Amino acid sequence: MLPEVSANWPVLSQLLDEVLALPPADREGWLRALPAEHWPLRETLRRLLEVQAGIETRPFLETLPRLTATSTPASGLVAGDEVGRYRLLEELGTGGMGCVWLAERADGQLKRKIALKLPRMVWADDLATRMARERDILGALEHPNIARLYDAGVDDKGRPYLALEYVEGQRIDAYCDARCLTIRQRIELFLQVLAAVQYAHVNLVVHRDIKPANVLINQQGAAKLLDFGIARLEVDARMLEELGDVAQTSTRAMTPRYASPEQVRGERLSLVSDVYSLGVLLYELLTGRSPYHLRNDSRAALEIAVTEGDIRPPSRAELTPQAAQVRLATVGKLSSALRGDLDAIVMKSLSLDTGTRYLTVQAFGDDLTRWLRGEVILAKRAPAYEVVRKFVLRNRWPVAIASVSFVAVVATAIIAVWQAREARQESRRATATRDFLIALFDDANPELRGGKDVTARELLLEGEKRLPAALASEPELQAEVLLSIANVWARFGDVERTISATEKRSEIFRALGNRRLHFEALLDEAHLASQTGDVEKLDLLLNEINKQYSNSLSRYSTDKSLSELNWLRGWSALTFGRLAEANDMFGKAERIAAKTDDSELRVRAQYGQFQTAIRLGRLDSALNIYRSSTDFLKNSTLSTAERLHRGFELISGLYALGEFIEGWPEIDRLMKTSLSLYGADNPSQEMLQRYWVNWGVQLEKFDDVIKWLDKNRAADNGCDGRLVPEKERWCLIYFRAMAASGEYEKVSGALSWLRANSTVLSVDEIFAVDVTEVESMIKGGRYNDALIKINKMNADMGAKGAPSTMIFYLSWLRGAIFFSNQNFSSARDHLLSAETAAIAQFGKDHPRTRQVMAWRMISEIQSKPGEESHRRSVRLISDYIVDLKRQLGTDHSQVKKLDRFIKTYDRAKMVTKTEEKDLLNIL
Amino acid sequence: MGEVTQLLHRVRQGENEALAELFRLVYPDLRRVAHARLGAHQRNTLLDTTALVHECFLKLCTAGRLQPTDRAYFFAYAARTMRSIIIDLARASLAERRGGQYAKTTLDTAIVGVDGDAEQLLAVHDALEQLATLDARLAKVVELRYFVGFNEIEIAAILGITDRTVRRDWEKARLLLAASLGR
Repeated sequence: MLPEVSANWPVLSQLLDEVLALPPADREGWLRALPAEHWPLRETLRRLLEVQAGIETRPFLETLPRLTATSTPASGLVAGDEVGRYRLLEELGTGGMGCVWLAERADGQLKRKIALKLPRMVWADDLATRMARERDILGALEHPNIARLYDAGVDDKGRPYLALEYVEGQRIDAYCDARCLTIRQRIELFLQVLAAVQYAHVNLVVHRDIKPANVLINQQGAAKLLDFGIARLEVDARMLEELGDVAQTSTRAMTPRYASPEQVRGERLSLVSDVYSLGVLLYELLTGRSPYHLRNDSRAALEIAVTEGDIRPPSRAELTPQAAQVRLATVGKLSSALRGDLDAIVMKSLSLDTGTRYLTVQAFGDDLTRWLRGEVILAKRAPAYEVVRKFVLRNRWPVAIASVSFVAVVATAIIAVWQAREARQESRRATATRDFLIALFDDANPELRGGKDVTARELLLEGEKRLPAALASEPELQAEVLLSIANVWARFGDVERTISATEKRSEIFRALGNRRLHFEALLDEAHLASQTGDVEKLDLLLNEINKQYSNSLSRYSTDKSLSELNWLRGWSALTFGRLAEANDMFGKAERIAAKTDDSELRVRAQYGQFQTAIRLGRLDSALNIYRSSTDFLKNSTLSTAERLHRGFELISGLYALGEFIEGWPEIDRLMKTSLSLYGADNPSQEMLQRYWVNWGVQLEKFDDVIKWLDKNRAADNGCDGRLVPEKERWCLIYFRAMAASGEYEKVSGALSWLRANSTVLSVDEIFAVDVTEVESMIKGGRYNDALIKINKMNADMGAKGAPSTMIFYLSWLRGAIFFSNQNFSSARDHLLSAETAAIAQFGKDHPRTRQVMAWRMISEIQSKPGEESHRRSVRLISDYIVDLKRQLGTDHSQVKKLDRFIKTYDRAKMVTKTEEKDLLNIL
Repeated sequence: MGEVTQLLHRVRQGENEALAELFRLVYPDLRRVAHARLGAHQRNTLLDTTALVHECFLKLCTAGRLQPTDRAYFFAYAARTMRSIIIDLARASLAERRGGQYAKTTLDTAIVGVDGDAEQLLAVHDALEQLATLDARLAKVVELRYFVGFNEIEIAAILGITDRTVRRDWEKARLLLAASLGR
C-alpha cells in the first residue's frame, strides 16, 4: 500500500466514503473545497480519484480470471450420461489424467463398445482443432497390435473425449506371470509389442508412454497397445491435477519408471525414446524387477536413477525365487539364461546415450529374433547397424529419387557417414553426425513446419548451410558430410552444387593442412571437372597437384589415387590432343587399377584407351578395346548403375565407329536398364536416351524410336506447339527422327517454328535444325528452297568463319541437291569438298567420310560413264557396301541404294531418267 | 451441536489443530467449488458457484455437522479457504508453465494468456494481504466477493454490516488495490 495512505488511513477512509458518494463530475470541486486540516491529504486523494476514474468503467476485480489450466471435477458423470455422441455405460477406471468409461454410440449406429477416455483438459480455444488433427493422425494407425483410436473431439459442453478400441485383457506383466511364461515365450509376446511400435514409428507416431498398463493381452493372446500417441495429446492439453493427489505425478504425462532419460530431462523426444521405454518393459518382463535401484520411493530418486543410467544387467538383477518360479526356472537358471546375449540386448536398448541405443524398434526386434533363432546378435557386434545398412542398400538406386523418396537419398548419404564413424568406433563423431542428421530431419518434419513439406533439395541446401556451424569443431567430419552431399547433388545431376560442395571440402582440408586428404580432395575436384567437361579447370587442378605433390606422391597417394591421377592426366592429354601421352597415361592407370582389382578405374582407363584409339584413327584396335571392355564390364562386380554408366560411355564411342548393328542390342539393353532404374524423366539419362534414339534412326528403326518419343518426349515436352526451354533439344531430336522416317513434309514447318522460338539451343544445334530443314526440303523435292536456305546458312557462317563440320554438311547437302537433279558433275564437285572437310574433321576411315566418298565416286561414274579408271572406284564402293551391310544391315536404305548403283553400273553404266526419283536421293 | 460447529468454536478460540481438522472436513467440497469458479466454461454461472457454497453449507448442516447459526462464520471461513485453494492453483499453474520443461515444448500460444491471469491472481492476493493489515474488513469484503463471488447482501449478512457499507468498502478496497497494483 502507498505509505501516505497507510499513515492516514482512518481519516482517508472517511474522506473517500464522502467523495466516492459524489458523482464523478463533482469530485474535483469537492477536493478544492477540502477543509484546511485535510490539505496535506489533498494530493493523495487526487491521485486516488484518478485511479478511481481509471477503474470506474472497467470491471476491475469483478470476476476471477479464468485459469485455463484448471481442472473441473472429473467426477460428476454417471452411467447413462452422454458425452458427444457416446453414452456412458460403466466406469472402467480413473487416474491422474482423467477417467475412462465403457461406452457405446448414443445414436445406436454402431453396436460395438468402446473405451471412452475423458481427459481433464486445458480449455484452450483451439482444442477442438487439435483434437481433430490428432484424431486424423492417430486414427490412421491400423495394426493388429494397436488399439484403434476411433474418434476424438470436444463435445458441445466443451468436454474433450477420445473413443478407443475397447480391449478386454490383462496387463502384459500380470499375464506373463499368471501363465508362468518362460523367457522365450515372454520375448515372443514382447515382439508383438515391438511390431506395433515399429508400425507406429514408420507412421511417425511416438507412443511416449509405453508401460505395462498400456499393453494388454487379450483372450486370443494377442498384445494390444493402448493410448498410442495419446500421451502427447494429454501433455498438450493437460490440466492441473487436483490438489491432494500426489502433486508431482501428473504434471508430466509420462510414467517416470518407464520414461527415457531424455524424457525425464524434458528434452526433445524421438523414436529412440520409445526404444528405451520398451527396454524397461522387457527388463521387467524378464526379471520381474525394475531396472532401477531406489533408495526411496520419491519421484526425485527415480528421476536421478533414470538420468544416471545406473542399471544392472538383467542377469545381475535381484532375482527372487518367486520371479524365477513364474518363469519356470530357478534363480540360478534364470540368471544364466539372461546372461550374455539378453543382457547385451536389454542394455543396448537401455543405453543412456541415444546414439548407442538401438536406432530403431525394428533393430531391437531383429536382435531378439536372432536370439530366438540362436543367431549372433548385433548388440554384441561392432555397432555397424544392420538396419542402417539395409536402409542404405534399399535406397541406393536412384529409382528412389525419381519416385518415392528423395529424402531417403539424402538420409542415406549422411547416414553412411555416420555408419562409417560407428564402424571406426569414433562414437563422438558418429553421434555428432547423427545429431546433425536428426536435427535436419526434425526441421523437415511437415508437422513442425506448419504442414509445409520440405523438398529434399531444400533439405540438402539447408544441411549444407548449417554444416559449418553444426559441426564447427569437427572440420573433418564436415568434409565427410560434404562429400556425401556432393554425391547426392551429383546423383541429381546438379553439377554446380556438386562442384561447390566438393570445393568447400577441398578448402577444409587445405585449411586444416591435411596434405593427404587435400590431395584426395583435389583429385575429386579434378575428376568432377573431367566429368563436366571443364577442361581448363581440369588442367588447372592437375597443375596444382603437380606443383604441390609431384615430389611427394608416394607419401600422399594410394594405388587408387595414383591410378586416378594417371587417368586424369590421360584425360587431359586426350582433350588437348596429346594422344601419345594420353595412351601412355591410360595404360598406366589401367595397370595400377588391375593390380588393385579396381574395376571402376579399370573400365574408365579402358574407355580412355578406346577414345584415344578412335582419335588416333586406329578403328580396328578401338573396336577390339570396345569388345573386351564391354565383356569385362558385364562380368565386373560394379553396381548396376555403375555398369550402366560405363557401358554407355563405351557404346557412345561405338556410335562414332558406325558399328550400329553390333551396338544396337547393347544400347537397347542399356536403355531398358536405364528406364527401369531411373524412369524416363531423369535428366542424367537424357544423353543415353538421345543416343538410343539416334541409334534407332541410323538403323531406320523408326517405329520403335518414334513410338518412344511420342510417348515420352513429344506432347509433354512442348513439341506439339508449347515450347519448354529445357526440352528444345528433345524437339530437335524428335523432328529429326520424324524427318528421317519420311515425315519430312510434316516436320518442315515444325523446324522453322523451333528455330524461330528456340531460346536455349546452341549454335551447333540451331545448325542441326537448319540441316534437318534442308534435308526435308530436298527429300520433298523443293530443291530451290533448299539451295536458297543453304546459301543463307553459308552467308551466316561466312561472317563468323565456318568450322569444317559445317562446311562438310553444306557441301554434302549441295551435292545431294545436284545429284537429285542429275547434275552429277556439280554433285561431284560439292561432294569432293565435303569429303575433304570430312577427312579433316572425322578422319579418313570415319563412316561419314566413307559415305561421302562413295557418293562422290558414284557422281564421277555417272558424270563420265565408261571410263576405265572407274573400276577401282567400283571396287572401293563394293568394299564399303560390305562394311555398311555389317554396320547397318542389308535392308538399310543406304545399302540398297548403293547396291542399285553398283549393279546399274555393271548393267548399263548409267542411271536412266526413268529410274525412280527416290534412288537419286542420296540422303 | 454439529461436528463442524464444535470445530468452529474451537477455531474461534484459537485452536490450530481444530482448524486443520475443520480444513480436512470441508476441504474437498470447497475445492470442488474453487475449481468450478475458475473454469472458463463457467463464465456465465457465477451464481452457481455461490450456490455451491450454500449447498455445501446445507449439506454439512443436514449431516448434522454444522449448526445453521454458524452460517456467517462458515462462509467467512469458506471464503478464506477458497482463496487459498485458488491461489495454490494459480501458483501451480505458473510453476507448471515456467518450471516444467515439458510445458515449453508442448504448450502453444493459444494458452499463453494464462500466465498473466495467474500472475494477476497472485498480485491481488499479495495486495490483499497488505490491505488486511490496513483494514481487515475491506480485505474480507474482497475475499468474499472476488474469490467466492458472494453478492453484497450475502456479504453484508456474513460480516454483520449493512449492504451500503459493503458497497462503500468494496469501492474503497477496489480503489486501493488498483492503486497498489498500478492499474
